[in-house]
Amino acid sequence: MNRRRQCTMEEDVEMSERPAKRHRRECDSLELMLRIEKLLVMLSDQHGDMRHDAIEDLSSLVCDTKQLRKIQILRIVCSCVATHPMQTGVYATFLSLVNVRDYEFGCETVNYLQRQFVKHLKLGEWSEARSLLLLLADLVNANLVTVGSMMQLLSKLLDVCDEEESPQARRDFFAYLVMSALPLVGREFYEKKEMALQVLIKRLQLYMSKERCAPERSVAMLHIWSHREMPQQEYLELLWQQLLRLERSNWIEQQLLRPHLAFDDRLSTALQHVLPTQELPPQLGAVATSTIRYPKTRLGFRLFEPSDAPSNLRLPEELDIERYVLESHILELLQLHHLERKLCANQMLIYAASKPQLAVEHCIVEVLLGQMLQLPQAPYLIINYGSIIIELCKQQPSQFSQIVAQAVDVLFTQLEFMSVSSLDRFVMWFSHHLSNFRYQWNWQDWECCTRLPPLHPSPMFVRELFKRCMRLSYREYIVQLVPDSYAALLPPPPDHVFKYIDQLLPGASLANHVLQAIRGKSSVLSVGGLVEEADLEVDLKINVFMQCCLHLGCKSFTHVFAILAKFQPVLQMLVHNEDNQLAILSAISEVWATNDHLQLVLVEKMLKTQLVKANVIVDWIFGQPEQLCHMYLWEVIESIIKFTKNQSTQDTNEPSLQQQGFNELFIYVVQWCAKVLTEHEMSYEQKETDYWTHWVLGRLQSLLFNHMEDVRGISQQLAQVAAQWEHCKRLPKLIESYLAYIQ
Amino acid sequence: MATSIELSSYRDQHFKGSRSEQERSLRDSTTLYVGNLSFYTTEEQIHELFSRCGDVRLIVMGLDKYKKTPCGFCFVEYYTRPEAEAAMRFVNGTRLDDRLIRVDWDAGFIEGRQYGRGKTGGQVRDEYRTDYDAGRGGYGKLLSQKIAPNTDNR
Repeated sequence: MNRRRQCTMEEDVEMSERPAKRHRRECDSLELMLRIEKLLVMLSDQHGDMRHDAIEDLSSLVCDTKQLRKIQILRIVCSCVATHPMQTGVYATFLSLVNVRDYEFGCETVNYLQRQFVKHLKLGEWSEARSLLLLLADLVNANLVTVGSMMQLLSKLLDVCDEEESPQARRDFFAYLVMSALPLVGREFYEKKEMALQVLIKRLQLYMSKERCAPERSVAMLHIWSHREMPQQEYLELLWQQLLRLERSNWIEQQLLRPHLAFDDRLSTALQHVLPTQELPPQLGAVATSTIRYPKTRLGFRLFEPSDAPSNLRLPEELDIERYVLESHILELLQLHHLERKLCANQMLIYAASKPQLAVEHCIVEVLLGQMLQLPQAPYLIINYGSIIIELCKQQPSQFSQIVAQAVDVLFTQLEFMSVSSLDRFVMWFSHHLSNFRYQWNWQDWECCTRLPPLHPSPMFVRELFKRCMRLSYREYIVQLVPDSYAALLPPPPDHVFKYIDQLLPGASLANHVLQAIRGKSSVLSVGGLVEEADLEVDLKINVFMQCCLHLGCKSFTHVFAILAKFQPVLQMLVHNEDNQLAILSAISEVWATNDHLQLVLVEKMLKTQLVKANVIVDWIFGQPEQLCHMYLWEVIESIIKFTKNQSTQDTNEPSLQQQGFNELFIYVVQWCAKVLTEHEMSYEQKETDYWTHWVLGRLQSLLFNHMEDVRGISQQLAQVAAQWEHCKRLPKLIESYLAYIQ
Repeated sequence: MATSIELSSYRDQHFKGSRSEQERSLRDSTTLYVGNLSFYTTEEQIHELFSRCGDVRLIVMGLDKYKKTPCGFCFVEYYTRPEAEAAMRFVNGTRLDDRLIRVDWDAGFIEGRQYGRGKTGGQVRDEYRTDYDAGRGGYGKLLSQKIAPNTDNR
């Protein structure tokens, strides 16, 4: 019987005890500790009255249990709070109830928590540090920590904002720390330390309006919207505005969890503790190194206004702290449960049910879509957000289908001003979403876009959306679903073209022979011989042979892959230089001109079987500049970049060599972009908006967003490219703001 | 607590190896079994959906043993385990070609496993089912034989 588990617990063994008794006691206390740990973790899952009972029962259990390692309890509480920062009220109430009966425990608590807080700051563990500060704030509410000492702590944190030499990111973070605590503890400060609170606010005011230089450059890149109509305030500025409004209503905040209120009479009898602020180190927080970075700035995202909510529900305004609280809670649930879509949806619905007067469902959709569209990248896969939304629509169809439709409509009206990276994600998400609901949509509502210039974002969005919907279903189905006015936006049937049906074409004769031979089950060797002996130029031979293979394999992926695999030796025999490789790619785009998906898959196959090199594929892509405003060629670029990167990692263990493949290819792509952009600019004379440039620049930006970690290593070279092409209209600026962000 | 990536209760009876070996393969696998497909669902559709979770390495369509036509299942293989897990999390129980599909771990494709194991060539489940499913040949095989003996209702 081995009940000893790997625990962080220190055994507290009385040396005077007999071994057997000692062993039994150790097992008992271990088991008890595990039970307490489990109950502590479960505290954050409780709701309503059950939550209060659970807190009370657990605090009694802890008080009644002798020989308990208090440090262990605190350690568990800290780890719970680290993953559930919106539940600090629960844990603070628990700790404070114990403190009522056990003053010593309260002492250990404040010392331990402050120590841990400082440690997290020193190690650059920002999220954990913030959680602990929120816990301390709630401990003030629950009467374990004195208001004065908390005020002292916050003041000390704000000292960092006065460090003129420190980088903006560091000063911003400490301002953010202090601001985070205020919604929780602002009211206590207001009631008991009003003057000191005013001083604190004044200091923040000074920092936010004067000391802090507007982070324009690094934020510029993050804007999803290129105009002012859609709110996208920088997060710190937004929180500051929300706090100012909270101040004007005397710090009364009602959405945060405050279980301590249920135990007010008991908690007010407790003796409070003072935070040992005199023990704080002079220099707080980590020095930024290459591995430790202060959190980057980010932008808020709003889709809905109060008027968008149904009449029986209230959606707090953007500058209302309540909006911040709702958003924070939903974000926490998403972070905890995003991998389990059913659990995630359930938890979100439970949260919504706990606030029956508020339009929480709207916030949920807003948070999910906002994160999915955010720049530079979404934290999770698009299909992750999509599957949660589908689950929500499944569980409460009457509400969520409506809200999702509302959100999509808002996004659609703003397409013209949307970052291309976000727009592409919108296409990917919405096509998948529709595929789960039979593509039912009020297509008539969007009919106006059919009358806009073809490259305008709205018709382009619809075009790309249709393409994706067709990939997931089939063309005839989509065609019969949409109104006739959309005809111009529907892609042509994705059928293949085999030009050698025309017997007059040069190469048609060889094509006939090849087809006959392959259909007649001739050996690879003899087919190869046939091709080799033909008296034609190599590139023409390649075109003929490749087209024959593609024609014979036109039924499915399996068919064409089988043929290409079988006759690979013939292709290998034919291909000697990059022009030959290009000929293979030309054949593919000729045969499957109207089928993007198949082009992608075949080009990938050519790369994987090493018939064609990545840089030749890039040449081929940029040799079709008129197609660059569409998504699919960039899909190919992404694919070959990823492949090259993975390939290099496998080929060698030498880190510098591993990156080389990626580095060279990436810079090559950027160079080509600069080239086609400049050429386009020189030839573009029209007075109308240059949408083509919008798409190409936008897709390049998307590429840069998707590979930030890797591109950081080639910042120098990227800057050089920007300098080289300084006359190209918007490219240098795009690269410049990107480099400013990733440093 | 049940997670979306844990093993189901299905074990391949034809697996060459012990139960524990099979389970070990399933836990490391990057291959997925996809079931309840329509007979008309194409590789393109499967590729498009599953590519949303990662880079698809290979798709093998499940075929009727005699007719060599798709019989409603397939294997999807990814390069890495996390990508396959994403498919388990986000695709299993959602729609492909307007049908709710089932995604489950598979120990790995070997030649021969692409064929249905039902007596009449398709999947076993299509032998015995009694509902009418237009995307899967109508009624189950046994039932169709009873209704209209000696006719092929496909």
